Amino acid sequence: METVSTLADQATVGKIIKNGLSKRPVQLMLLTLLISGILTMLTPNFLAQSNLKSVAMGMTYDLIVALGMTYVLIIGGLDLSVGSNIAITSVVTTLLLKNGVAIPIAILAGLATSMIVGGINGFFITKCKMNPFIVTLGTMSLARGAAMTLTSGYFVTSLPKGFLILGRGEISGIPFPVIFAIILVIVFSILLNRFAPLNRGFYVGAHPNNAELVGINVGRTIFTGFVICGLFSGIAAIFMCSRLAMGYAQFGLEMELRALAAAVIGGAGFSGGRGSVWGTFFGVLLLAIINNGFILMDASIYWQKVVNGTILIVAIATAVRNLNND
Amino acid sequence: MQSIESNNHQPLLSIRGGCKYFGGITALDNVDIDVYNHEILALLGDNGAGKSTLIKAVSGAHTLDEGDIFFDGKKVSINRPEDAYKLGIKTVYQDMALFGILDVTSNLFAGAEYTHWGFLQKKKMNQEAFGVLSNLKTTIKTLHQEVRSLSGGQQHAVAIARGVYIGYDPRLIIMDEPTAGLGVKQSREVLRLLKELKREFAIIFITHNLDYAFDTADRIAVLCGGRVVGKRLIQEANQTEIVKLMMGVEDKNNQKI
Repeated sequence: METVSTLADQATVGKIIKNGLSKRPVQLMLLTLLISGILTMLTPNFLAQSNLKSVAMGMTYDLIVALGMTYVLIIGGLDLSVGSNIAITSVVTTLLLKNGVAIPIAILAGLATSMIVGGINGFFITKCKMNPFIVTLGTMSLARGAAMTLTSGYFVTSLPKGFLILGRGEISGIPFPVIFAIILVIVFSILLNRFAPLNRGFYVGAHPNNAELVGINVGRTIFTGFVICGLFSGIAAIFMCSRLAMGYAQFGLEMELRALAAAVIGGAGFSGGRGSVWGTFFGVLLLAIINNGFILMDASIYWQKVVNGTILIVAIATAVRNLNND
Repeated sequence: MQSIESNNHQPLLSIRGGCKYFGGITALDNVDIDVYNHEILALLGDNGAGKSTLIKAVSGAHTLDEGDIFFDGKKVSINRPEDAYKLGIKTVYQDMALFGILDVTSNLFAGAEYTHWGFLQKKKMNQEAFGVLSNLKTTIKTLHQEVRSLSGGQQHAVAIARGVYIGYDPRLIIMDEPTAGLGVKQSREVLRLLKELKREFAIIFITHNLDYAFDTADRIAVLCGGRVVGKRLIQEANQTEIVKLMMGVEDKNNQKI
């Protein structure tokens, strides 16, 4: 009898370890630790506080945007307009600030702009049954174009000092945006897994028709998903304007590619129904550390792009392979 | 029809003059159907006869373009699946309408999650899922595995468990081809389950298999070209006649029951 129970226990412990290792976030965490270890050995600067801070700050915008992208992928969509959304939101917010509009109102107007861009995506995808790729490719161009038109391509500067605190303030050496992003990761991961209206995105992405049959409002879930994704881009844009003390129509260039890569590395796929906040978090962290390695080792910035592109293609190829296996 | 109404109990579900059009196509043409408590109504018909459209109208996936639905004697409008759930109309779809990449508990509670202030009560759902699946005597080992990794029989068990036991209390259960893709032994198991469920609920049983229909049903309704071409008490029906009706041969006694 005793032998049996011991065997069972061993099986359980083994199972827990096996289960853990089969989870994408755990795999990514181990990979991140491995790469960090290598970088620590290669360059003494990697663990310097200033370097870690710059890694954290550098990944914050990508992280916030990638969380929105993750949700859109979960509901079976795709959003290429996130980078352009950052541009238009930054321009609207900073133009209002420059014209003397109160800070909270300018921020709210900026966030509203980002949600409208998301809402336009959601509208055409749900009401006109258009392909998310096509729609968001359109808004990607539209939002960037609008931002350029509003600014004629110039920076929007001379922002009120009060506004700059958001991006530049720190608590014991940790910048506000980083603190916000960490809180967002924790809160969003809890909400995604526990809060029914958000959690239903998994059903919608996994099988929209069946989701409709069991009474889930598929259209509303998808629409809301795109609005949330837009809002997250807007939040990233506000922090970016505040930290850099300007708005600019070229903000967020190629952000959609990095966000997509991070979300896909983190376990989200193009077939919908998959993706996790922590997976995306480690996906963003991994990309940030790899990029940091390039900087520390004085590698060319062009090579960095080549490697980023390669990682993106490999990640997407894996996701597409999984899609075919489904 | 008189013979049943004089039966001294009113139908749980009635459809009167149900019509459904898809573009220029008439999918349902002036359909009258009654379903009674503690009875199995077998809905027979060839592919495209309108069986699916009819049950989708009852389950809220479609809405009727014309006609009325009465439930418990009261006129109701079923515009969304949720309207049907609230009445206690539960559907087990032919393709089972499962979410392959989600786990067993998520599938069982799809669209009917237990929540508290909008937050999922995962513990409660897992406990109930465990209880329901144990009752059905399934061989599913863990609730946390993806449903697509289960066997066909296990997937049917999940679909039936969801259709019958989860969420709002059922009163009318619609089984769309519940034996499709199952072996003989598993099909018998499903039929046994149907007869078991009949003790408590009204059941609409859609099938291609006449043997199964005659084995389980109390009444048979035959659809052809979107019209109800025949209704029979099982004692009065014979297979040859039913096949003729399904093939579209006219029935002079259409309004007999």
